[in-house]
Amino acid sequence: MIQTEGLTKKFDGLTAVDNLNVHVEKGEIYGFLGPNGAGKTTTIMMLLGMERPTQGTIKLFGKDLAQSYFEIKRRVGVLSEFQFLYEDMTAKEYLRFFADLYEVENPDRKIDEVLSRIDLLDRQHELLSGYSKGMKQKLGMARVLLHDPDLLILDEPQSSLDPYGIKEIRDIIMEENSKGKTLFISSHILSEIERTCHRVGIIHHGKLLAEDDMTHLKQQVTSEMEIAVELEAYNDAIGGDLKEQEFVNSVTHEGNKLTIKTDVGEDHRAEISRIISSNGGVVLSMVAKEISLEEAFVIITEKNLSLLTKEGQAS
Amino acid sequence: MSKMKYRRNAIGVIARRDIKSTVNGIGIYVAASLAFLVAMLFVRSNLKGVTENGLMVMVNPLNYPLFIAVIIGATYLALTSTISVARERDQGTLEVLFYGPVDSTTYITAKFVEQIVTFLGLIVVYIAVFFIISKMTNFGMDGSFLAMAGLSVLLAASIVAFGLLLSTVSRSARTSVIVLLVLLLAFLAIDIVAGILNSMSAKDMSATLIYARVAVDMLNRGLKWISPFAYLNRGIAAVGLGVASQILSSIGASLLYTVVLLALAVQFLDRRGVRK
Repeated sequence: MIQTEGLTKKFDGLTAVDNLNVHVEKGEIYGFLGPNGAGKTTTIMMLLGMERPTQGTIKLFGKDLAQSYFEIKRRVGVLSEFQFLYEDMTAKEYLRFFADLYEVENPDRKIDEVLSRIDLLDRQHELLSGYSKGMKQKLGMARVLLHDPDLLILDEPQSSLDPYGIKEIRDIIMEENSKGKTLFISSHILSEIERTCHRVGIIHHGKLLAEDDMTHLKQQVTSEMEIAVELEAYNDAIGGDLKEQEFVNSVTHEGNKLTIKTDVGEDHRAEISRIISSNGGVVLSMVAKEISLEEAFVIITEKNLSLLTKEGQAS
Repeated sequence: MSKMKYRRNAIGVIARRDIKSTVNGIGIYVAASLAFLVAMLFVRSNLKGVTENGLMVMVNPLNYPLFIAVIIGATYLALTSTISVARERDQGTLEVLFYGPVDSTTYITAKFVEQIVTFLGLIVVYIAVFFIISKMTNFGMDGSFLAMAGLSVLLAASIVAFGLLLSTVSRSARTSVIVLLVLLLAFLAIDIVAGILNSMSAKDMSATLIYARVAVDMLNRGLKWISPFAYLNRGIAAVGLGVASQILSSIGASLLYTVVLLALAVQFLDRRGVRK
């Protein structure tokens, strides 16, 4: 759906995007992450043909944007971080303008439909100059949905929203994806990215450092998995037996609570449960503590840790 | 659907929105009122000439008032087109348009169409008002009046293209307006200085002043191909002479000027980008 090869952008000698190879498959939700100034917005602008790459190629829907500009643009919906609206218009007029631009069929019905989805139907006749930041953000999302695009490029879609708004946008993202739509999301709200995205790409100083699904990405930045077990009663035989297992790196206990560190890759919880039972223990709870996306992101960007091979694939 | 069809639709949608915005705004009415006010002063002066001096014949008495009204209307267009692109870039709405099926050619053409349609509306009102004045005063309106009205559309096209080019080059709406005013004043100043120097006798001039006269005269001649207002003067002079070939060549020059400036505006918008 989106494919960039060797994408590079230089501004006055400064490399904003450096040899970027991003691949987004049809029907996936792709999180595009990076600290401020990493090159995310420049990349998005190049994807949309609004910045010319210094080098490299971009394909959307398998086509070159320059060759099929109008055809591609009509299949893409874009939401930027800041909402720039015609403030002398009402929400209805604003959406009607874009419906006409995209030649949407049955525009009035479609406008009502998208306004309902973002809960702004009853405020459609108010001037946009009176809209709050959050309402403007939601109206921007309505504009994106208006022409039923196959690819949605969302830059910070949940910034300036309250928890209800964040959930509304998350639900829309999931609904659109369930209809087979592809989403490319750039966001700093990593908990939302973790909840919604199938794969993420992490960019830092213009370079793509990692591109993988959540599980593999987290596995690559940590060598151990931590399993917390709560027992009815602890006995030394349990600890001793666990320590002898090959997959166990360390076992510590505090009262009836055990912390077991294992190698990443395989799930050893069933085996641990069996060992505890065979030593007369009873498991009350067992939780595998995973590294969060936020922790993985910090590790990767702080250490400038590249998880990609030379070919740009996950190692 | 073809690229042309997509483009035509986008031009229509953007131009319609802008025309609506112009009609709902106050600027166009202020410009039209000012144009009529100044034009009426000239009509009054002509009437006075007839009554006080007992003139029996006056050649095209409404043409000059129309010329003044056209210049004021065109100056309004120059200002609005100079602001148009830069203001939309400042507001960020230009960026949002380009997320969709809009490119530089589409956008510049839409802005051009909007301004020309506005001017056509203005000209229709001008003709209607001058027709009423003609009936009230018995001042005649002949073919040259309509020819001038027609030529004024070409002037409008040249001025709009000039304004759009400035708007794409400038970093902000304010800079665009300042650049426009500075350029117009510079054109005027050079024209006045050239006139003064040319009216002086060479015998009374020092060698330096003679060189300055030649230089200013050459500069002034060059500017006649850059200043959009010069194209109307050329057209009106041709209409006055009634020479078809000169009228056609002035129309051709205006059209060529417009097309070249619009193409440059598209290029500059592409290079400068649409982001704030």
